[in-house]
Amino acid sequence: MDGGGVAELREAHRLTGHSDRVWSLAWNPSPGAGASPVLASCGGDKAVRIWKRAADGAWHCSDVLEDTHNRTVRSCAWSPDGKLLATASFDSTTAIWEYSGGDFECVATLEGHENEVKSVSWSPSGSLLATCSRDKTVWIWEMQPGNEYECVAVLQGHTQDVKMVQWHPFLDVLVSVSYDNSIRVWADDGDDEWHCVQILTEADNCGHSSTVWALSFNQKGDRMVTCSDDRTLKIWDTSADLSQPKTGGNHGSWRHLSTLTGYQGRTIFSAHWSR
Amino acid sequence: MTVGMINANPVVHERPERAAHPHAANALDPLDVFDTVRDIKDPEHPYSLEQLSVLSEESVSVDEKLGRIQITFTPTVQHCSMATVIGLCLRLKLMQNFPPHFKIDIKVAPGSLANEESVNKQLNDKERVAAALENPNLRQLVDECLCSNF
Repeated sequence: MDGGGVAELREAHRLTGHSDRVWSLAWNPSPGAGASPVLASCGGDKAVRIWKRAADGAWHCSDVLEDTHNRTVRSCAWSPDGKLLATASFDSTTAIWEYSGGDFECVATLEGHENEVKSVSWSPSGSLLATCSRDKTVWIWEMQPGNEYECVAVLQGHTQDVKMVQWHPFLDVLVSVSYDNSIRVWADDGDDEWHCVQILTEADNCGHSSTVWALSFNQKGDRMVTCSDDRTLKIWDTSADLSQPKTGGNHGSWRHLSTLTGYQGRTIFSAHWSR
Repeated sequence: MTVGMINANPVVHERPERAAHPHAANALDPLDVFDTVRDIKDPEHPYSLEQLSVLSEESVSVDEKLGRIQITFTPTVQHCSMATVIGLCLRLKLMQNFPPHFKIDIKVAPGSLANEESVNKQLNDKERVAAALENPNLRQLVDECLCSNF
């Protein structure tokens, strides 16, 4: 890094194998004690690939998960304990994969969305899973014993396809972003009823003026970044605890802090806080 | 009269003569792009997009330095539900013929379509485009428009 603080990026490794566009990547947050890093990737070739770094530093593809999804696999997400991988597909299903006995096995298929599933996210405890779709809905699934997943809520409110869902890093608060330009925040009211507790829009909150593609929280969970087709990044103060909408009384709300504009000439598809 | 046609009687133009155009060997100019898309068949009619004046050479702009191709097309009628199909055809044809680093923008001409803004947004959302091209019925329609011989 030089005095100007501009970081230099160099290609360290090139992972080849997918035969079509790669849509999503996910680091395994918990590959096991002493284990080397593990990465999952998925894409337009309908396949998921698992990549591992060997002791000598070289990367190789250890597993190819195919013949389960019959359209593009749009996104993938590891459970917090690193034992399960969820994959969301344009074929309208979400698959759950378990690593056991040296192989990845598809242990559950979550069906219910009317069309393309675009994103999947595990709650901080790993007991809940959220998915979103072009059908404008967000579904919350609860993990039951025996690899059963029960849909506990179908969240309606977005007026266009929902591009991404992501849980807060330690609260059961879910955020969804959409082609309708809005950001919605969802929480359980304490009686297992899920509600939209805040909507962040251009008109009311200095929100985005076009499709919101992605979001990411910082590690502390008090800041969120969103990125958009409007070519901006927006930083939000998310320090207000929205997880108990009923008991919270005047629980405050999330608010816009700043807009980063002029750095990108085209759509910003993805953003991620460093850890 | 054909029932269900969106524009049953389009204005059809003669196909203009084509002369080879001189240009630098490695440079991409708008005419190269236009040559790639001018013979795409209209989804509704047995004519090319050029014959129906949906496209002309002026529809294309290229910024090779920035790696951008922009096409602005003009649907034949204000309420053309085929506009998204035409847009998909253009995008797929360009994706098949130009390197992936080219950024492609496809828009309808200002004022040419009632729902101009929503069509433009849809045609430039790479996720919606990818999903649409995986839809078998839509893909068949697009492929038929692309494999025509004029």
